[in-house]
Amino acid sequence: MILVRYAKTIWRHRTLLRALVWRDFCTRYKQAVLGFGWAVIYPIALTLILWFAFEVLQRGPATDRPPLLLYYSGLHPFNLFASCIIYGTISIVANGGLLTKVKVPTETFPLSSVLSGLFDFAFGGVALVGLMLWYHSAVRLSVHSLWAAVAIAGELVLTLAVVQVFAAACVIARDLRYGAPILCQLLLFLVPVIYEVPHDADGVWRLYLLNPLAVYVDTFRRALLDGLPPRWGYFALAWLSSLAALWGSCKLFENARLKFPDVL
Amino acid sequence: MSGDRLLKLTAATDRPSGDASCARRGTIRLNDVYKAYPRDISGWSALRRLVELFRPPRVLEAVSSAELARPDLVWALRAVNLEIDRGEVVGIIGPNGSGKSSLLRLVAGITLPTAGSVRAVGRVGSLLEVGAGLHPEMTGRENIYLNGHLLGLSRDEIDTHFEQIVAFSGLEDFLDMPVKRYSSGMYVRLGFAVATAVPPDILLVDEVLAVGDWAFQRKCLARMRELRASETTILFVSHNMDAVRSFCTRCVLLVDGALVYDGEPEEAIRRYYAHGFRTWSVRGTGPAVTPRLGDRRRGLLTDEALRVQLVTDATGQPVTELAAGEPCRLHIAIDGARLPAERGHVRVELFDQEGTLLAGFSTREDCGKAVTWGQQPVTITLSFPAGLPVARGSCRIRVLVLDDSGLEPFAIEDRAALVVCRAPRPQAGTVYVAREWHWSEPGAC
Repeated sequence: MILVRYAKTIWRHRTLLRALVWRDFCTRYKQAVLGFGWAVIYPIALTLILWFAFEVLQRGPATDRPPLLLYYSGLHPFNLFASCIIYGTISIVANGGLLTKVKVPTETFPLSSVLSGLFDFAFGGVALVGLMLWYHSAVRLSVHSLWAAVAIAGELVLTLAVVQVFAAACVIARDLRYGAPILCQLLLFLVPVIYEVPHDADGVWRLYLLNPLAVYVDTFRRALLDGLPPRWGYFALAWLSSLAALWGSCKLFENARLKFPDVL
Repeated sequence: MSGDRLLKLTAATDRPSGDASCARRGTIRLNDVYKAYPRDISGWSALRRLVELFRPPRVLEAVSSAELARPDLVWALRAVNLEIDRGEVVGIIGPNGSGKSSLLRLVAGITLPTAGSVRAVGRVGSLLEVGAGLHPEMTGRENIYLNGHLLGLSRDEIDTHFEQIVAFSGLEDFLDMPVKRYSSGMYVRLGFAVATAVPPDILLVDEVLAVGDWAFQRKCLARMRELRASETTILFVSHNMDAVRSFCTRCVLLVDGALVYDGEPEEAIRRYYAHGFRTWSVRGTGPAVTPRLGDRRRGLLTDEALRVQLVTDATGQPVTELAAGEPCRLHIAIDGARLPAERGHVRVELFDQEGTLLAGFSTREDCGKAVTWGQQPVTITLSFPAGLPVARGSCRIRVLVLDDSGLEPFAIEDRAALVVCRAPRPQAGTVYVAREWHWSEPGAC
């Protein structure tokens, strides 16, 4: 019910949403010499650091996958989440000037920050495609590869749920502005980026795969690099929990949104 | 109950094209509205506030006196009732911090009242601050669209009115420049042009026009007159009383969050000034002089040495309000024992409410000789048989006691008297001229 209301609000203000996404897109790298290059540089740099640390120094985890492809294919979907959280958490505070002076549908701010995160994702995707072409012998595409898109969609639902709550809470506790990046760094290790979930996930992996973000990243990588379908049970659970999170998040956000102008 | 009320409220303010089933578009109703803001959010109280934030919003039915006395809240509005009909142009005046902007924000639907109900039917165009709704990094062109969307206009509507917006703002040459390079006047031009391009049902303007230059202000007032003619309801916050007087059909005076007057603009303005002077003169108690560097060195004596009263001829009682042209006189009591010389001059200066010197005269020029007080108290009377020359607003009287040369002050009473004046009959301008008309009827002579 509340999700329907949310969707209706967003639909009614779709022109505004488009303008906001365009604004975020235009201004994110404005006056930066490298511009949108940063969307690619960051994951590549991180990939190289991981490669150096785990392959060169440590003679890292034995896997038959090329390490650069392994790291980048995990980092890419993970970064979508992380950068949305970092940008999205401040989305309400950053628009404080607008919120207190104009009547705006506040729901559009977290959503537009998530959607404009997709631009970064698209730019980073160019590098992923390049890597996949380079290591084409290690990549097996199949019809199941399309599940990667479903995984990203689920990840966006989850991200939006978290961003809405964080953005609202940040209005009162600006601590989140500093807390969110730290949280993302910790999550990097709870998500299969520098390692892989074994094919027959048992034991502690069963607990591990209750984390929806881990499932999405795992599904993304398996689908794109191995052409494998999702781990059905975990994947369905991840989607369900993401939708439940969005439901709760919309409820909390709706409660909070009219109080923003008073505390900003 | 509060949930029900909340739904009503969002229904009225959320929908740009609103349902006008129960009220006409352009009407505004405030029913016993209270608005409180937290004084400060810090430390651990933030955690409690965080929990509070995510709870469903509550609009109280009534506010108890204990609630009003809570030290952690600031009450921006108290028990405000207001009914405004379609097409009315209402000025909102009051001192700083009296709740004017809070009122507009409630009508705009930006915030919820703490208690009471707010209804504003129809599309609301608002101009609450210089540059509100403009994004500094985007160009003027992009901002016209962004701001238009925020004001509830569709893309087509903006397309249709684009040329008109640009022409009105006069920013043809700056359209593709990021607005952060704009001057504040240009911000207002753009904001006003977008807000008024398509006549809204309700227009809220909060003291932003003051930033524009004279010509643009005229243009804005002209545009607002057009809107008034097309039955747009206008709420107009301003400290420019001439604009309020010439433009509004009704005026509301807010003081400390309470609506103290609602009615004729002229009367509201008179009360506004009266209130302003009261607080001004209360703050001015104590040494009534503006201390200046070197005053002490020169042995400048102040309050004790000089007492001034303005009384009317009719009653002989001190006054704070006066009809223009009403005969009055100034009693200036000088305590000679407290002054460093035995003789000197007295100078009297009249100022209007803007602080402009209207007239200044002294015993030196008028009488050609000094006042001698020796060591005694002496009272000097200065009569104004034709009254004060101020037709409306206030008149401030400053009295100085000067040395023999008429240059060095011994004592200054900066606000010797403050009176609110008004002309006995309506007139244009602020200067009162005593006058008599005579003519002969045809055939009478």
